[in-house]
Amino acid sequence: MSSKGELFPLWLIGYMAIGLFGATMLTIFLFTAGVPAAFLAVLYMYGILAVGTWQYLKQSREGDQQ
Amino acid sequence: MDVYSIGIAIYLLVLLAIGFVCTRYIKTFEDFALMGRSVKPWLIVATISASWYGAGTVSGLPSLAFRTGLTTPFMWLMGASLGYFIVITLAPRVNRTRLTTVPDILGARYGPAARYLGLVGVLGTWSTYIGYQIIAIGWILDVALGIPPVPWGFVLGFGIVLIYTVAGGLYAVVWTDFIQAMVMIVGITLMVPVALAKIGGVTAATSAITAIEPNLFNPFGVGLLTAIGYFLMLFGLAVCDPTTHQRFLACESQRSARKAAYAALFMPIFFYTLIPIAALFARVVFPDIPNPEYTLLWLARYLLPAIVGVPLMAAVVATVMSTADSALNICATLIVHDVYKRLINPQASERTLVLLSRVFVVFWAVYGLVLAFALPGVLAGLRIAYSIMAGVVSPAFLAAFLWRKATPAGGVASLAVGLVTLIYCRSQQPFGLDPVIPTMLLGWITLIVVSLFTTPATDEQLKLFTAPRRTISA
Repeated sequence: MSSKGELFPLWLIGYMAIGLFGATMLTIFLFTAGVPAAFLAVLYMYGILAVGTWQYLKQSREGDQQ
Repeated sequence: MDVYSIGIAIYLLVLLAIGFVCTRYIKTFEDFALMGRSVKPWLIVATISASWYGAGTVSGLPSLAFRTGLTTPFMWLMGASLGYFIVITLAPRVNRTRLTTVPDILGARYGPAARYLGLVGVLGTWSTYIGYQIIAIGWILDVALGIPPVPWGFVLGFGIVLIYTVAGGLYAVVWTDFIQAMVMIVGITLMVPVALAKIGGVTAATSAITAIEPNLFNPFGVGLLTAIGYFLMLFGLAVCDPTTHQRFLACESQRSARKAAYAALFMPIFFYTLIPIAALFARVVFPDIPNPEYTLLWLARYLLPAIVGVPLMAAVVATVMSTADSALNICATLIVHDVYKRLINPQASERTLVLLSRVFVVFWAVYGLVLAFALPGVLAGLRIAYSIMAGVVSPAFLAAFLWRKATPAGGVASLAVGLVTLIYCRSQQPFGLDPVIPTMLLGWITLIVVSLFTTPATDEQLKLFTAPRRTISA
């Protein structure tokens, strides 16, 4: 098993923060504007971030076990 | 000279210097094309971002958001990010094949006819890329420096891109792409809050946008088929974008390739949300922009203070240039690798291949310049380029990895039918459909039907594409 530092290297945290910033800005904008499909759009964006992170962790663990 | 001229000039000089320094490290063809297969994942993600987000992102996408609202940009986001999910699956498999180009992959899986049909498709896409990147540089030089795009803006942009691509190959492309990605991220990150502060906050911005055009927030305002068309274009392009796959091939290991793919997934969320939002801000502040494709540039030049505007303008120059140099690199590599080395001179020395790569970079740059004068704008060029890759190439490319029963005849037929359909639909526009929709649909139908009735692929053809994941070594 890798250490936490290896699972979440600094470069990955940086890229995640960038994606999160975009998603948050659009979330604020859509809800303020009262866009009817805002909820689905927001769900999609955070879903991508969550699934991406989860899959990255899974891959890291599989890699360590090999 | 004003601060914009000086800032952009310094930036471009730095890029040229990096490209020049990097030439010292190029000794073999693999150095030129794949950076010796030694690139770390964090660098791969940055370079994918810089090469993927070009004129389409900084000029075509804002013009769509400016004119039609957020729906089409969101389709870009969905298409690109779902495409990236597929890339995550494919990246280690593509890396394991050790094949250099998309036509190589099609050829290994479906035979030589597929290789050359794929070559036509990929070259058609990337040579069009070069043309509309040069158009975008012309727009930038017009807005930033007041240089008329026709002819001098286009000619200047062509010259700058050409010099540093010829000088450095992918060594230059990877490192300059990394710098450009960072500049772009910082510039766009600064742009949105500063612009928002100028307008007076989120509530003021949304109220003003709604007052100008209520349909800008209507998710169905652009029409379902238009939205589907953009989704398919971005999805198809993302899954078989040769730049992305070439960058993964440059990874030091398959594990690195997969991690780079996961990290790259976060990038479209950043670019495809913040840029359209900024374009809508421009709709409020500059409703009479002379050309909607100037939107992001106009914001940088006339809304933002110079301390933010200059880096952003440099970032826009950067992202367009990085895509242009990647396009030149891809087109040159394809001709040298798939045509010259394979058909004309299989015994060619590394020195000859590097030299020829540089000659063909010049050739494609000149072709791009000619195309820049012929195309009406960035968005028009983008729609042609994306339709070729997404509609024609993506069905056969995806099936090569994901469907064992895809046969050589099915792959070739899919590519051929896709090319014919795209040419017909672009000229006739049947039912007003975006050409990518019937092209991709018929490509898949042909692939499946022909594959069900023709001789299966041999074990030799399948072995590179179907090994189980667990055998992948780190």
